[in-house]
Amino acid sequence: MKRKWHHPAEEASSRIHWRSLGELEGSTEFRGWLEREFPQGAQELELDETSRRSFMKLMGASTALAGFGVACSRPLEHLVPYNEHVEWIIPGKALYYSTAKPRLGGLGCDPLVVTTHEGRPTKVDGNRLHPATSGGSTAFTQASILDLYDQDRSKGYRKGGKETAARDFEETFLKPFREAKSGAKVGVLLSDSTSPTRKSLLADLAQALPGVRVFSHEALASSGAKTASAALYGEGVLPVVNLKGADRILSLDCDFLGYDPVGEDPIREFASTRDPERAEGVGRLYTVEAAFTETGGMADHRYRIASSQILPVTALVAKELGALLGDAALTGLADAVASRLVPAVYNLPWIKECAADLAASKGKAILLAGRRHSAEVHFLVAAANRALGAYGPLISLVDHALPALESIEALSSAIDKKEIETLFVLNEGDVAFDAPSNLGIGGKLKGLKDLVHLGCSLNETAKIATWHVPGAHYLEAWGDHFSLSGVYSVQQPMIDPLWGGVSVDRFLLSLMQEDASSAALLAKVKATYAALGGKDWVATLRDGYAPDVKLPAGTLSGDPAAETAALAKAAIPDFPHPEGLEVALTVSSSVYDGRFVNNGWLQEAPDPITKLTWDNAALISFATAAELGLEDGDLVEFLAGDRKVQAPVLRSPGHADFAVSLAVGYYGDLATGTASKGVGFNAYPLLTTAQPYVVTGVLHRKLGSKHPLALTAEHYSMEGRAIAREGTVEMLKKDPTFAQYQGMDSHIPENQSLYKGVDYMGAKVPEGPIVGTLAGHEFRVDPHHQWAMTVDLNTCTGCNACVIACQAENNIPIVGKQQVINGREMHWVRMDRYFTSPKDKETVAELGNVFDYIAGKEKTKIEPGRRPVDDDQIEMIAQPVSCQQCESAPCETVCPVNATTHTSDGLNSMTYNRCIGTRYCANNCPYKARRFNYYDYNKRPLDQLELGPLAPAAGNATTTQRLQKNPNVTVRMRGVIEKCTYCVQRINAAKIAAKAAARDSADVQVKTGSFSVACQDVCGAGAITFGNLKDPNDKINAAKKNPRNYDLLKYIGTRPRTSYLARIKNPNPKMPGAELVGTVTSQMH
Amino acid sequence: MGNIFPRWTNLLAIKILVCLGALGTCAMAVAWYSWTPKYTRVGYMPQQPIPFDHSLHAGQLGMDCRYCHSHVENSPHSNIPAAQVCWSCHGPGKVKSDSPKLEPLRQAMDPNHEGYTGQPIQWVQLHKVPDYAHFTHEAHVNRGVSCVECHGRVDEMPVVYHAKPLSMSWCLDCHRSPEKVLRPLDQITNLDWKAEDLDPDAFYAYVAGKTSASAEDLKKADAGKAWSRELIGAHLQKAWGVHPPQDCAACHH
Repeated sequence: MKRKWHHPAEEASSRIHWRSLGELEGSTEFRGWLEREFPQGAQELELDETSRRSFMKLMGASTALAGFGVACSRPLEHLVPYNEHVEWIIPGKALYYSTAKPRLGGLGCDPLVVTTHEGRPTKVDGNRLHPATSGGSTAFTQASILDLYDQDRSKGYRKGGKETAARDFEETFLKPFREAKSGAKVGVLLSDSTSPTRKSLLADLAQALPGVRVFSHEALASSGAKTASAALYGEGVLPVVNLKGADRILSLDCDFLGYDPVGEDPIREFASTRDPERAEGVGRLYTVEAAFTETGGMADHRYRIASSQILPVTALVAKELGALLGDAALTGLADAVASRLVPAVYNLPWIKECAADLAASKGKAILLAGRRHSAEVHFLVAAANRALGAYGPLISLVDHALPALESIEALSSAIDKKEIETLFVLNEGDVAFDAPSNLGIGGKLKGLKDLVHLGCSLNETAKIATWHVPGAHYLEAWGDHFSLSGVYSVQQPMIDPLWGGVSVDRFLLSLMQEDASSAALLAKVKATYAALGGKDWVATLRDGYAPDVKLPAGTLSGDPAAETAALAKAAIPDFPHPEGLEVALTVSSSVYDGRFVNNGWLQEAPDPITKLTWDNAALISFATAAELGLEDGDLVEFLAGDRKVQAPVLRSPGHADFAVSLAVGYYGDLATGTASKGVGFNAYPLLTTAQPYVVTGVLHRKLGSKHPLALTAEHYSMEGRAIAREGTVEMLKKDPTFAQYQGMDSHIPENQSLYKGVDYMGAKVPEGPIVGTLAGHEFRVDPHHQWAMTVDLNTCTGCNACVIACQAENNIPIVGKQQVINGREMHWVRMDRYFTSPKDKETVAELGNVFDYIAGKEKTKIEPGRRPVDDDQIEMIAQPVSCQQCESAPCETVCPVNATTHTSDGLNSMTYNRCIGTRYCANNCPYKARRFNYYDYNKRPLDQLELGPLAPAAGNATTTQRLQKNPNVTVRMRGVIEKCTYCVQRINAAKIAAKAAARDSADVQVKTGSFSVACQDVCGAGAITFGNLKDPNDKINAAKKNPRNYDLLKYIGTRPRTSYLARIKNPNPKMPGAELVGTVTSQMH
Repeated sequence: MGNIFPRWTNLLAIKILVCLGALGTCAMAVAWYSWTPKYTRVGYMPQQPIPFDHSLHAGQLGMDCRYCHSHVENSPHSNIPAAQVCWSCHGPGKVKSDSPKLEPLRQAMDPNHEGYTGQPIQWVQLHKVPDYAHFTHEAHVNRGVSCVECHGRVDEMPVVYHAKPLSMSWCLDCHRSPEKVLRPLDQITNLDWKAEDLDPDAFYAYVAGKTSASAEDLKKADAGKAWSRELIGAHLQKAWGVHPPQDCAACHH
């Protein structure tokens, strides 16, 4: 029976949901993406005559060969057992080991569990046993396994750029150096580290080589936070934030959910404050930032302002707080800056309400400042946190007693003064590439007598080094680390160095003694462990941490007079304007500071905010683009003094006006790796010691050419339906089930089909064998297992960790930039990101001009036909979408060969060996969750994808990365469809284990929580719940009963097994514009 | 105008068609049979680097399969034993330690041996399912499926050969009717086990212990039925809750 839907009229003042500007503006390209599966598909067939002829030739040849091939017998294959069986290894079963990886930035560590198959590490995950983490991990951690097998890794020693033997280095250089026992004019450049073994090695080094100087360099750790920390807490003490009890958070350009981790597990801790069932109520997050970050996307209230204005805003907030809390010290400190401001240019109502809210939650409120902001900002924030009583309940101080290392500036001047002639560059990153450009380190290093570089990649520093030593990946080396909060964690190697790499610690050892083997380093680590009071090494190694080793607490000190003096001197930059733009050099979600530049997984993972792949771009606001006459993809040159960089611009919603955000770390033309070649634009030339983060007074010049950007925002669009739902605390209070009745679900008539589908949940244990004419062919339903998943949008930050974890677990290939432009990315988890903004012109005009601070400038004129965007009213919500495992799946009914079928335990399964590639299923999937292998992505390197089947073999470009593949998942070939399977290999392994354990009993149900799926494992927020609906103890049952639970496109009757929990915002009712926060999907029809 | 074609050509086209049809049918029949795993795999008997005699070790000497294939109960793969396992009996001064047949073993294991390489023995793979089919030994041998069901009477094979087709339809035969192959768990590696080896009284008592029915009732219900593998299997299937998966994703993922 045909259902007639009467859509109610939409309210004029409502908000809209959109993923890209094309969608917002209804561009023709967007219509193309929407209406066709792959808009570029048709172009692929427009082959010219020659290529069609060669195609026919190849086809003919391959058919002929296929004919011969059949007659041949099957290839002879060998089974090669060990000579002596290796302890613990059971061929075919994975082994799991604990280890730890130093955090990006050097301080603290990520405790990990590594999956190995017959000695071959294939996947890393967080260590759930470890007290510092809940078991989540980041996209960078997930992708780090690929770097281990990187084909372009340094594979041997080099002397002056030419390959040489390890012995040559040992005999010509290292041995004479070691025997000289002198540290005069010798420097060592390291990364920051909280490793106790590293610390003791450095102490030994100072003795063995008297006079040696040790420097540290991290491109993305500016000195501001360090200086402030040293002044406030003393040298070597680290503040550790625990957000569990934080009811009110103000983030001052601190992306604590992204690349600015302020504590051990900030994402999980923050997630716990967002729980609507939390006794203290849902927390509230305020952010002040220039460009959207993952943190800004989670905020209840967001203040859009250029990064250079963080100090003034902090001062204004601090001043309000000082007055409200009656804290004279804080007021005095804030006044040192605030008194010099013109307050009217700031959004004072926002600042006032924010400060009032923070002050009202004294003891449960905290301010967080971006790590890369100046010491002055950190002084103010520390004083405010002290006044708010955040030290103690929310911030603890841990005395790591870190060794004092000199800065990169000190190194630069030491080289100038000829105090360093021999330099060992052992730090992560690439100092010749990523050091502040005003130092000209690259040129200075070339002038050194001996420059020894140790690293995994042959980067810019390696190219100029007199000696290059291949580095070891963290999975190849022994080591130890203190986590940020001081938990002793062991780093154990999973595999011998693939190409003879040497770890930093082993190299330091080799400067002092001849035996610098892995065993010697292990002895050193064990000695450190014993010296720290560790007792049970074996248990520590097994669990990954030592519960009996503790670090002392630090104390909060500080010198208010000196801080006030520093603040009084602090420069207050102007607001950026067209003739003086400011460029914030941001952290890339793909390459970090440049160290992941050759990692294809990260390059292809769409940026959480911009959805840009295989590139960096200069992000600007709509108003800026209109004012400067720029369009997406326009190449622009940015000039700061005599330093200049080029980059394509990309309009970014919610961006501060006349500010530019440009990610550093891309090598552009400098790169030579298979994944990094020609990718992105190098922005490091703008970075200087004086302006390590925000570069002000930048001029721009349009170059006139365009750069193609591979954006995925419009791919697989769901056409403005209420997919990612949200509401407010108030809405939840009024009707807890509000999310189930949003969008189309608010007014659709009931489905009146007579056929109700298979009853999966009502199945009973079948009695004995099934007999009859259809014996064995009935559709059976598993009475023990029915799998399902929920994704909590309330805590999902859109960080991409699940996207990469899925890629690692399921052998998902990368496809390269051109294929992404064609819409052929293979990620099984598609991380959708929606922006919401007010719908009609009036609302925009009214609200948009409230905070328009550019005096004398009218708000940008809105072109006819274009929907205006009010950058101050934009919210963001992320939503991972993969196969929804529909009980009544549209894809299954259209497959002509039964390659996609439903399993008895409720999975929508995909049988690759049956698939003939008609792509009917992908066309019929309402969630657009299916992916097609257009090329042999797994077999050929990216630049040879289009070669025919008879082309010469792919060379060795993919051979080592093949070692990463999960042996339990079929590697798909060209011409088949693939999609999320709920990690069916893990489900099957769990079922098999349950059966093997059951032996001669009928107890075959998988035990509660005995396994998890890859995306669930990795989620730092714990947003993904997966489990067995038939197991009453399983958490999935509670999650499905949550009133916020809703299905995507419920009204089409697919009965998906994956459902979502709506996001709950907690707006401050006194805030301007609060009535619009979190209301977008409640007004969609 | 005279006839260009003689009379006999009237039926020529039909004759040719019939002949071609017959030929095609024959060709198809040959292909149909000779391209099936039943033909291509069964009987495959490659030469191994060491002519290991299963009929001697497993048959005559009565060694349990799991002595060498030690992980069969807890792994998807039934492992080929490490050379160390052979060496424990055939090492220097032990059984047949200087037999020329064991040359590859000495090359792998004996550092004092002249031709010592330390390289592991390269056994030829005999039973192989495609990479996209994920078979597991663990779930079968722990749930009453004996080695013999897939590998045949290895204890009677001087040289091991491919005894069963291991094709998908062959797998599904048992997955659809598991009662044909189930046997008591203590007889899994007894390749010579027969229904008659099982004492009906003890068996009914065992099944009664696993289910709610009494041994007497079970026996009564079976009165008149022949004591067979199927009968035993049907009881075991019910008692153990054996419901082999028939979903594609059970093996293909």
